[in-house]
Amino acid sequence: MLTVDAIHTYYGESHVLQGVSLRVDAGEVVALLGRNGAGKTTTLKSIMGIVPARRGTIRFDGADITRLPPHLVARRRIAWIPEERRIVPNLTVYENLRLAMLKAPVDGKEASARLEEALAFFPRLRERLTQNGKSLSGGEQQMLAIARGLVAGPALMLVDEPTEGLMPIIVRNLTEILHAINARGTSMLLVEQNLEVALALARRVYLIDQGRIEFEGTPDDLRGHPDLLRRYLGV
Amino acid sequence: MPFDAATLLSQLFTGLVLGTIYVLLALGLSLIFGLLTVVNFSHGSFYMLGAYLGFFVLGFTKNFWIALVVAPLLLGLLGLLTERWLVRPLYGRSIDDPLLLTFGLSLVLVEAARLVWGKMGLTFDPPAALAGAVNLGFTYFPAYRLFVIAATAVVVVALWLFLERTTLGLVIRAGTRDALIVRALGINLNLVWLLVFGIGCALAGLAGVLAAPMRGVYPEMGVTIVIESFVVVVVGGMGSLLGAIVAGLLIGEVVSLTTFFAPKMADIVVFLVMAVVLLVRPSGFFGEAGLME
Repeated sequence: MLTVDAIHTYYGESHVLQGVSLRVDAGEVVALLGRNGAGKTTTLKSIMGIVPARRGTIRFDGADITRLPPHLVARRRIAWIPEERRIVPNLTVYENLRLAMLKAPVDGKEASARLEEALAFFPRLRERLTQNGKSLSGGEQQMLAIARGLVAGPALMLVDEPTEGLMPIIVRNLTEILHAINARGTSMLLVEQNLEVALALARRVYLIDQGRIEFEGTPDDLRGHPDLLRRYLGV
Repeated sequence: MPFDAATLLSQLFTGLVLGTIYVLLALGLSLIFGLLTVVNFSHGSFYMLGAYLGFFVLGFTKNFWIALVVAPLLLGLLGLLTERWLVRPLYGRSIDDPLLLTFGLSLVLVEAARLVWGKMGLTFDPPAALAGAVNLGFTYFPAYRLFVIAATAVVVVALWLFLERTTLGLVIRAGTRDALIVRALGINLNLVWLLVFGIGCALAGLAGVLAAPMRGVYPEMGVTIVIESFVVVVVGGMGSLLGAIVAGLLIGEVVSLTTFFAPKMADIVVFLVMAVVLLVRPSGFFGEAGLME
């Protein structure tokens, strides 16, 4: 489904991704783990076309999307759930969701079904549909960020640190919801600091360090290598 | 100095009319700045061109109402061309670059107006239907000026409905706060930027036509008022439309009253207001801190 092949990405002169390769197959959750600054977020941004890769290729459903601008990547049904959530503060919860549905390649009936589905996952958002984005708590903003990705009907979600800074009970809740979203057929590339969340959700795991992929395997493979966990995650 | 309540009220009305012109100019500036982060220094020249084009459409058609509609549309078109071919190549660069470009463009346009139409001003008569004065009870006030107040109110309400009730308005409000997430949700903002630049310039053109019968038509007519309109934008809060309206009317009143009570102060009072507001509220009345960062 998604194939990232030896991409090199720079911020100005700084060489952040140094030949990252990974793949996400249809229906999979794949976790990308590593320390702060290892290149996890940059990998997602390169796929999204926000910080385009200078070298290497990114293919999605067989098509080369390496040089596409973000809006065209999104229209290929890739949803980005950014680490900072990026809820538009001056729009209501409903308007934030509507914004995400404007260019979704679906008709009106399916769009409202999607909205219902997203709100069924997050009943708390339904109570707050007319509130401004900036009035939401951190957990609610994360719910809205995921719901906003969902209503566009993505085939693949790039989820960046969904549980960061949230209370354990909300973390558990979000983990279950992400699992349910995947069970309905949406693939995910998940960047996550919380190792337990990542290993519970992912079928495969990549470890990234200093812009290079250092390990690929199943969660069980990784659990069997405490040395890798210590070396690349400091656990 | 002869002074009574009627004179004061009359002066307040005059300030309101001046304020509406500031509001129209500041709305365009603020809309463009809020979404594109472009400080459009050519706005005053677009205002001036609006007045000239209005004058010629009026001469051609003998119909003020056609001029009132056609001149802003032509300015909107000029705005589209300016964004597409001059401003767009500078996106992603420092905020100074489009500022310098539009400043240069304004010099070119003013000089071009002098070459084409001469340095002498033109007189632009209000339409016959609005030629007289209306008895407001305390004074006779020119009917045309009352029309300018009403027309501005209509434009402001229409703009508000457009931004709050339409899909494009939703995208503009979102893009003003977080362009990146809007693009990542599949929306092509290039088209939206183009359109907003056009709308802003059309508003400048409208202000030019509306102001022409009151202030005359001459090549430098936009030079001072655009600076004052920038002050309005800063005082109201960069990118805030409500701020542009409130500050526009406030500055109009302040200038009008100062002209009456202390004419020598009239040229600098605008900047005094700005200094005081910025000392108390550095981001203006309705500004969000950090927009420029």
